[in-house]
Amino acid sequence: MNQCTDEVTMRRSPERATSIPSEPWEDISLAKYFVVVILLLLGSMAWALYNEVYTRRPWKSFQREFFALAQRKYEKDLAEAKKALASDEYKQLRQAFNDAVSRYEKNPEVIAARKEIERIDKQLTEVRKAFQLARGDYQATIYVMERTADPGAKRRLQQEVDRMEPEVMKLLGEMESLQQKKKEQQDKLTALAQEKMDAEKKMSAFETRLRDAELGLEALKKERVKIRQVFNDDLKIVDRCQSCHVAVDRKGFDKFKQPFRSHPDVFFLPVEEEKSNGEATKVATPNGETPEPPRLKNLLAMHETEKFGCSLCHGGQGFAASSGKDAHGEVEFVLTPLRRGALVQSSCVKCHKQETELLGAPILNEGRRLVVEYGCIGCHTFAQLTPEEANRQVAPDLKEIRKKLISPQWLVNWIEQPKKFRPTTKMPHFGLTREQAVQIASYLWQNAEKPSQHAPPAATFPATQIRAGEVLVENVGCFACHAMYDKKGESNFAPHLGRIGEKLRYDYLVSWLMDPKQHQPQGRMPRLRLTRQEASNIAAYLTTKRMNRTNRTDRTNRTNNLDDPKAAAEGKLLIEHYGCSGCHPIKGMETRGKIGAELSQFGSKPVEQLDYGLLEKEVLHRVHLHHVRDNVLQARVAWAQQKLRDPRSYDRGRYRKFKDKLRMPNFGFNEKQIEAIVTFLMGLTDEKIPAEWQSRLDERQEAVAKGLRIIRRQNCIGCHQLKLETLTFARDNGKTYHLEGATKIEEQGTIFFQLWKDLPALGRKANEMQPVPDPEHPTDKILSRTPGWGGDIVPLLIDQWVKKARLAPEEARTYAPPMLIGEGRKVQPPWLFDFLKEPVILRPWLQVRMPTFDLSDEDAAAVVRYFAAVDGGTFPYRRVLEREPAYIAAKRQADPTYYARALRMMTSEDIKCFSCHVRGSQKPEGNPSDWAPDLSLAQRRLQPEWIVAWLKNPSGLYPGTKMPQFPFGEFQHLFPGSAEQQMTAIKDLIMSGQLSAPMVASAKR
Amino acid sequence: MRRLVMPFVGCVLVVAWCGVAFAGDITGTVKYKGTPPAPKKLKPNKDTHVCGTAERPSEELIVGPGGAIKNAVLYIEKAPGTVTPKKAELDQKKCVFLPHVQVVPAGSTLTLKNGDPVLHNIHFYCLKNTPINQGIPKGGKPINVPLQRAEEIKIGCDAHKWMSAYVIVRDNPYYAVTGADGKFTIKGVPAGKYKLTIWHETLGKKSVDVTVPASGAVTQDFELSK
Repeated sequence: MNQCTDEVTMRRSPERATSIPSEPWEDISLAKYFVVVILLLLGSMAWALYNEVYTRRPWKSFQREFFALAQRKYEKDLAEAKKALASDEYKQLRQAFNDAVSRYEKNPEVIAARKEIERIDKQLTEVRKAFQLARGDYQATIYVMERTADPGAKRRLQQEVDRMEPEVMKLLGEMESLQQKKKEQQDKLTALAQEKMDAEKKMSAFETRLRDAELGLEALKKERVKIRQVFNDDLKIVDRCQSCHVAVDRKGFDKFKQPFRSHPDVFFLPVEEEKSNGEATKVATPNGETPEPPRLKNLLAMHETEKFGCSLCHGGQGFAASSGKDAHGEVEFVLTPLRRGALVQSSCVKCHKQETELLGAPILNEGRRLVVEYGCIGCHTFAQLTPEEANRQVAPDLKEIRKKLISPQWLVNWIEQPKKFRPTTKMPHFGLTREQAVQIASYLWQNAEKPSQHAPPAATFPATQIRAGEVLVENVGCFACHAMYDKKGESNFAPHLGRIGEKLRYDYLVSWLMDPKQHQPQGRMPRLRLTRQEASNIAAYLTTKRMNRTNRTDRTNRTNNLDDPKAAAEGKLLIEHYGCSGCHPIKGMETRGKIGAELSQFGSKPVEQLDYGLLEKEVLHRVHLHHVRDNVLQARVAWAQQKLRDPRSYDRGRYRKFKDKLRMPNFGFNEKQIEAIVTFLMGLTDEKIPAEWQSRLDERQEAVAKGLRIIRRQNCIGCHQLKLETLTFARDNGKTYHLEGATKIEEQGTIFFQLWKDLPALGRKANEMQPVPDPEHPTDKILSRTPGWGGDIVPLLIDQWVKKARLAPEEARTYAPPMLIGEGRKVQPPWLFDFLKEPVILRPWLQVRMPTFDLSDEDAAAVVRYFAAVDGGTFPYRRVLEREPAYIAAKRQADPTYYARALRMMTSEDIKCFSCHVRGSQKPEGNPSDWAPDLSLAQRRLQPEWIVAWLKNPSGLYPGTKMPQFPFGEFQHLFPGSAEQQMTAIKDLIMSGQLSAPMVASAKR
Repeated sequence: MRRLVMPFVGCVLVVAWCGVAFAGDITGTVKYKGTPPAPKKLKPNKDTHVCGTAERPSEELIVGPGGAIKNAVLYIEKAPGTVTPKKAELDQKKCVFLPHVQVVPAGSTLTLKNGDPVLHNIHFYCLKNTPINQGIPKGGKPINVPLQRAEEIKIGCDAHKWMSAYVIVRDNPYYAVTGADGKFTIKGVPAGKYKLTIWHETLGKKSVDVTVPASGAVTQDFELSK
């Protein structure tokens, strides 16, 4: 075929070569088309390049904008700082500092103290040498003695040891006293240097401002426009967020618009403040080769952005840098959209599983607490909760309802509509019909223990008994947990008692009050060690707590009969259906599992699995979404909110068989509670965070976390304040001050804040009052304020005592339960353990009672450990040298009258400890309400160091205490020596356990 | 030189006249409305060798003949002028604070003394000033306490609960304490409208508006009851 064609062509071509006209397309110039196409191509390439370099890299222009902004800011700062340095104020401060330095150097006291230290050092070297030699001999002799088999030689050596011991102890004592003296001199020097340091501090505030601005400008010069990326292979993080959010970890950009704002101070840590001061001086000394811009010291200091990135907490598509919307992940099909607002707190739970009181995440903490307290755990499983929380029995065992309730009718009403009787109850509304309520009540009634006697006819009690009960209820501390309509106090920790008289039988109440654990071993109500008489009085008072005065008992038999076995059988099915036994232990239902869905991964549950029923449009509309896929996080949040608001609304308008119907009851949560619970739920994701990146609590933190869970469970904070109020304010010298203590009064915009911790930065000591703003610095600006934690009942008791005894409010404060600030350094752990197990009366003036909680050994130890951990105390054991015979003997050896003189000081007319303090069986004069704690208990109770610190300045340790400060250092006729020696002697005497009656008697003689 | 003396004296006189002439006094009487309750009795139950055993009338409400109330404090809430700090004293004799009620200008120093041969402890219940709680042994050194901010401070002794005293700190110089006759005079108040406050330890606190004339006195009487 091919050949053939070739032949034809060859034959034709010679004659055609000249005659055939050229084809038209060979003549037409295509140049212009090519040009157009080339231009188009070039254009599109230019566009592609532009798009690639600019449009798809918006962070470039953001960074340029930021650098310009920052340049302006630092220049302004610099100008201001220079102006301030040129001001007379600074010159004066500088002069004042120089003066202070020269005064300090010339101060004869300083010179004397330095000489004294030198002298003590010399002595100390000698004594130490002697002590080491003596101890060496002593220990060698003991060693030989222990190795000797010959009893005679052993005895001889024993005598030798006994002979040597006092010498060793004497030297030890000398050494200690020399060290003590040295410390006194050093303290004196520090005190004398105070003026110098204060002046320096004031002066350096000016210089710091200049340095900050200079460093900022310097650092800015080195800045280039670049992608700023955090990469963490372990966490699977590629975050480029800081390419736009350039100022996240830079200080001073709080007021700038996004994306140029500093990461907010989520919370303020005083420790961080110290650190930042330390680092600031470090940066100042070397002539900074790579100056760092000033950085924030707060949440980010613990979660460094260069390691953790942003998206781990905030969500979003960290790697996307093409647009804000993409980066925030607020586009279709992205599984992790940005967690805006409070939702960011939900991320904490991903790594912090044990901590229930996370700093800076109050909404999350609240959500977690609600999930446990309201019994969500009864139906749903949450793998993130600690066993402590997950296994909590949140509702009472129902075996005793026949013994406890006045009428079965109450039970039916309650099951039908619990919140009708008690609006604050945690028991949810199940939406039952009357008939269903009767059926459930029948099962419960028939499966409860029968009372030994019939309900006694409603007794009336004498008014005196009722009044006595009322006084007890007000005084022993019931309102730390309970509330009543006609009394102050709003605690919702335990059931509201406003209508308790309509519910409970008198005989049950008496028995319950005397020993609640006997009735509800898993319940939280503690024993207040009431006598039968006291319990009867309280019970009589409680029976009067009714809404309507008519007695309903007589109507009981007319209404519902709960003895029908058929109804009970129906009831059983209903109880199983609604999962009542998830919260209440019910006879015959002990092995039932949880009826609800597991929620351990609810935060990443695929949205298509969420059933919105007929409400999809309505629910999504609330979060401005058209479709669930537009923002899966918001869709999930909206679904959960609706579910919590109206649990069965997703069934609305649909036909369902009874067993398929939604069963979740309505808890009547308010919007705040819903936000908190949803925040917690959204943190329950399936993300796998490697163990080494999860929060690993050290021993101390674990002790705190565990202690806090028990403290919350037992509501210790109903009575005791455990954390101080804090207030942080900024002064125009650029410094921030962090105060810990309590607001005493707020008047005309000024807060009068009593310090509980020394504040050297302001030259203030604990117990002093700091007005904020200070009248001398009217521009002081409050940055943050956190309320104290605990002591809910205190204002009620103060109010009561102000009225009852006409006291000043500050005076009445002593009648409230003590604040437990620094408890871990105050008391000995074994004592606290025993006290928690079986409290003794310590403060005779208190009417409010420390209850017996019947804590398990483990829980009691955990609480003791909590205090030790919080305050940096020891746990569980410590050596108390002052109690040991050898110590006592050495003291006696050195001075046979040591203890006697210490006692003379205590009993003298000048100090008169036992004018107020109880000492075993010996009681002070006057009313018990004016007495002070028993000092014979102190040997086992108090830490020796605390006693000295307390004697030195009681109000500094516990502002407002009744214990006065004494002028130690005087009393030379009683106990010659320094103030320190006098206080040490009293401590030694107390700790030696010699405060026994005979000795006191002999001293008096 | 001599030519300058006369105008100078003249100026001084004019200034002095201005100062004196545009100021008036506030006077009045404080009385109990109705029948006063029988005075409470305090009985020492401790350290009776010093404090004595005899019952003593409580000083919390002293009503004299005609219902005159002693120890009511009157002061002007806000007024121009600065206070001159002074030295004030609080002594203790036979387990009684002396004086029971006193007013001191802000910035003053209060010297605490113990005139009894027994330990006392002086406990300030303040909300604005730094609270002091100091034991003073018999013959102990007096203690100086600075009082910086205006407030009414109750003072007690934790060793002897029946003892009490009040120190009222004021930040302007216009105040007075009623004597046994219930009378008071606040002198030299610059003319103008003010809020006059009366404070009594058991009868509480209340305020009225007063207008002080350019010269002479304005009378403002009070009737208090529980």
